[in-house]
Amino acid sequence: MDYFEVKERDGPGRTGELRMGGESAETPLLAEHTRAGVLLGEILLKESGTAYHPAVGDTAPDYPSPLRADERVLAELEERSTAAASPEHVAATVHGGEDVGLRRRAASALEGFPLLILGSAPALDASPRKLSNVVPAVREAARPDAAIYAPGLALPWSVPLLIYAGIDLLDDSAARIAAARNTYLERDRASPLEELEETVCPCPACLDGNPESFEGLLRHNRATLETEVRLSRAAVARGQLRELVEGRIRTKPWLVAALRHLDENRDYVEERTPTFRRSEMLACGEEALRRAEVTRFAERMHGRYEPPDADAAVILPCSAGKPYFTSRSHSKFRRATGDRALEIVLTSPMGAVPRELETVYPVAHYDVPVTGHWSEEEIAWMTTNLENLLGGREYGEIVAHVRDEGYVEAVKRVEENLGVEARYTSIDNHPTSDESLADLEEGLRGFRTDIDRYAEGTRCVADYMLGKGAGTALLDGAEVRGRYPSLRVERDGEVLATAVPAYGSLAFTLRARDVFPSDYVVEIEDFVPMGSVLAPGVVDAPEGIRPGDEVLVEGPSATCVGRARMSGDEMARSRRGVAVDVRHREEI
Amino acid sequence: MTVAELVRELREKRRERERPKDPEEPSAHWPGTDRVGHDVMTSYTVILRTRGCRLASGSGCTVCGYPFEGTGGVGAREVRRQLETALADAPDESLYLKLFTSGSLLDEWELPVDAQRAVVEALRSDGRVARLSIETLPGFVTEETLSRIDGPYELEVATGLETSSDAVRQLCLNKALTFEDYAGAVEAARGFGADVKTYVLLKPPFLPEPTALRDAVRSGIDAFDAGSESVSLNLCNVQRGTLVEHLHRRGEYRPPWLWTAHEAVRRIKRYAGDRLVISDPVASGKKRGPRNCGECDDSAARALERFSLEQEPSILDGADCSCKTEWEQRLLLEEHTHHPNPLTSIDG
Repeated sequence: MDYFEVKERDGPGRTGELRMGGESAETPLLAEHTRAGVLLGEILLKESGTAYHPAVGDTAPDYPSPLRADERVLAELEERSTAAASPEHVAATVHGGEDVGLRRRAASALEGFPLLILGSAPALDASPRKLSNVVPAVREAARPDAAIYAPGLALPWSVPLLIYAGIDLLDDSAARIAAARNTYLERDRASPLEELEETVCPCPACLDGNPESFEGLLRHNRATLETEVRLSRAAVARGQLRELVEGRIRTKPWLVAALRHLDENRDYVEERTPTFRRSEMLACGEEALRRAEVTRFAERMHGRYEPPDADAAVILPCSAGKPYFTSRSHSKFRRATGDRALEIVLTSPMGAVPRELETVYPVAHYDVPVTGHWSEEEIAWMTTNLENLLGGREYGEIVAHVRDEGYVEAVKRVEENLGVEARYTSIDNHPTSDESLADLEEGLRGFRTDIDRYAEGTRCVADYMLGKGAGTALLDGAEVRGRYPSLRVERDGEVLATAVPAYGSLAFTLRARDVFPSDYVVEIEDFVPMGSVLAPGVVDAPEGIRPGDEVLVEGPSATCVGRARMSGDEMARSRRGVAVDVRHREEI
Repeated sequence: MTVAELVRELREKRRERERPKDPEEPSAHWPGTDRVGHDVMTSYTVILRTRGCRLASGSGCTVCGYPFEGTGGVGAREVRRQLETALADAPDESLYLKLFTSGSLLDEWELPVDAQRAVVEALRSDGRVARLSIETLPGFVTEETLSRIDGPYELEVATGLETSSDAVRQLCLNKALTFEDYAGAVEAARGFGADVKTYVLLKPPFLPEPTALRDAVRSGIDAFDAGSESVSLNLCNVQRGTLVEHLHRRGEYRPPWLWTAHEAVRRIKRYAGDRLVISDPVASGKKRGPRNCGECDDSAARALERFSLEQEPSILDGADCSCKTEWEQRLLLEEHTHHPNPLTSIDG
């Protein structure tokens, strides 16, 4: 049985296992071209060639298509190629050139194949717009468990981005062409070998002497590509592919452009990006502001967050330590505010974070260079989110306990936009100085002090995870115990949910089944899942489910609660892979 | 078919920019040297201006830019004038005259019967022509049409098969012709006592380099099997107003490597034995023509020309360059990627 099974997801990038002809290979991988065929790890994929002069092989013979041509030509070649594919082959080529509609048509028509070859992929090199249109179109239209192979496209500097964009298999074409041209590939450049003073690479081919023969240079060039593929694979497993990509794209403007275009295709990236995880999120460049994690936080906060009942609001600066409450500065702030106000933390790239959500992913997981200088984009982003948090409700006092120009600018804009006035308590002094803190305390004099932080935090996190109202349902007749942030919700001595600070989420038990709205209920066939629910066992799953979300699993024979490993769409359309890691189950 | 539509549109767009042609002036004429059997003959090529290829009046081939050579109003009188002008510059000796139109000389739609007769009369009275080669689509080759142009010379029918694959000819070339038509024409020509020279095209659009090589070799062999006396390998170049140009402008077509042409000729010759395999590398080394790395284009093209005259495979073995490694790699890779690998950012 030939198949592709996705293991881990990190945005559109993923790791998986490709199994063909009894051999298996881990993706992402670098395919090697040999006379006998294409080596995908241990798998030898025999080429059938084109439909004009086909040979006996594993791939469906295609009608090669250009990337750029009149759409009628692209349509004709796509149609013929798709029609030429037959079930005796394990891989087929998705044509359609730059025409996204044609690519979708081909990818969905070829859905039976575990391996899809991206036609005219070589021409996508250095074409950021086309790349970020074509790859998502193919991934979306193909079944989620089809591996995507883009031959002739990878260069060392583009590998992480290509994998992040959604390609599972790349190849060593560039290593061969470069070696044939006596060109030495490095992570960020290609240089004529004769112009290099020294080869700095410690790969065997370089250490064994100068890689002057074609074979030696090929070995080095391939190792350079292979390294990037392996780094990307490890980064997916670690949940930090985006960090690798944002670092690597700096060397070529077209790669930066490609990532921006991909981010503009937000739904594609967001659907595949985990909601809760333990990896650190590093915001080292402006692209971080457009990460799905960041925009999703703002979106969920806007749609799901219901602030605690407070008559005053305090705006605070962020802290290097996360969650904020663990930092020295915030413990001073907390003493001064004394649970008397809605607390909002201004920060980049998260924008504005209410105290109640300080433990969720990625608020508790990000790091950002702090210089006191803020870009216009960052200020605008903080403004938007602060305005959303403060709008729609009147506060007796808004205290702005911020000093950095960027923070102050954001607050001033919100004052103007909402027609409110803030009291600045830290204009000239350091926010943690005794005078500032005293001023802060003074600003809140007379406001109520009865906000139950732990209960409110738990309610808001539950809302953030499952939607408005979930938190209230969870806390109904229940109490919150434990030491913040390791809280748990109990009702009649039974645990409903436990906070998992490492993931920035709550882990629910079956006692909390009524808390789950239908948006987070996965319907399965008639069986009792053991450790996990596999995708083929899923009857249907709501579209809004993301990898990392808590879900309730319901079937005729069992009810379970657990963490989604894939999106709802992937659960519904995949033939393989773990859909949900089951934490608790109950036979019916 | 959609490719056909596009070919027609591109052609019409280009045609608007063409200046009208003088029906009394031939398109071109030039002297040369060609191999005929075991001899080398002085040749003279004349391209007559006619109404143009009948196929091109509908849609036409994806590679062919000759339709713009056509003009209206070419009758017997005009053709006579054209031949007069052309032959005035021909060497005063026994000639192998290669007479082309930008279509089919035997097609009376293109060149009326009395004009065809006028050609024969002119050649008969000129007296220098020992061997006449005329170019035509296979469909027009019958005993009747051939007898119209018969005269006191050996007759050779040159016909563009391009490829023996009907799929390639239909989709990549948009040429309305089947291999069966071609085989019938070869039989008719041979029955009439004429020789057949078959044009095979190296690298139609949409074919990766290794497929193009395989297609050309297969086609050459099939042409000989059908009874052709010689095979001429045409190396595709980028002509104006064509689909190939449309692709080339977008970086989606690369003319064949000269190494591919060497390899194709070598393999076809291996099968041909004593029969002629020739190739004239038109536009070699140019951006729009067959080429290697730029360093060796000239020597590789000269080797093809010498081979065409001497038919000695060792001439091809003499040509070499460091870019052959890249060509070999590209053949291997395109076998698997089915696309000309630009990898544009490898150099910058």
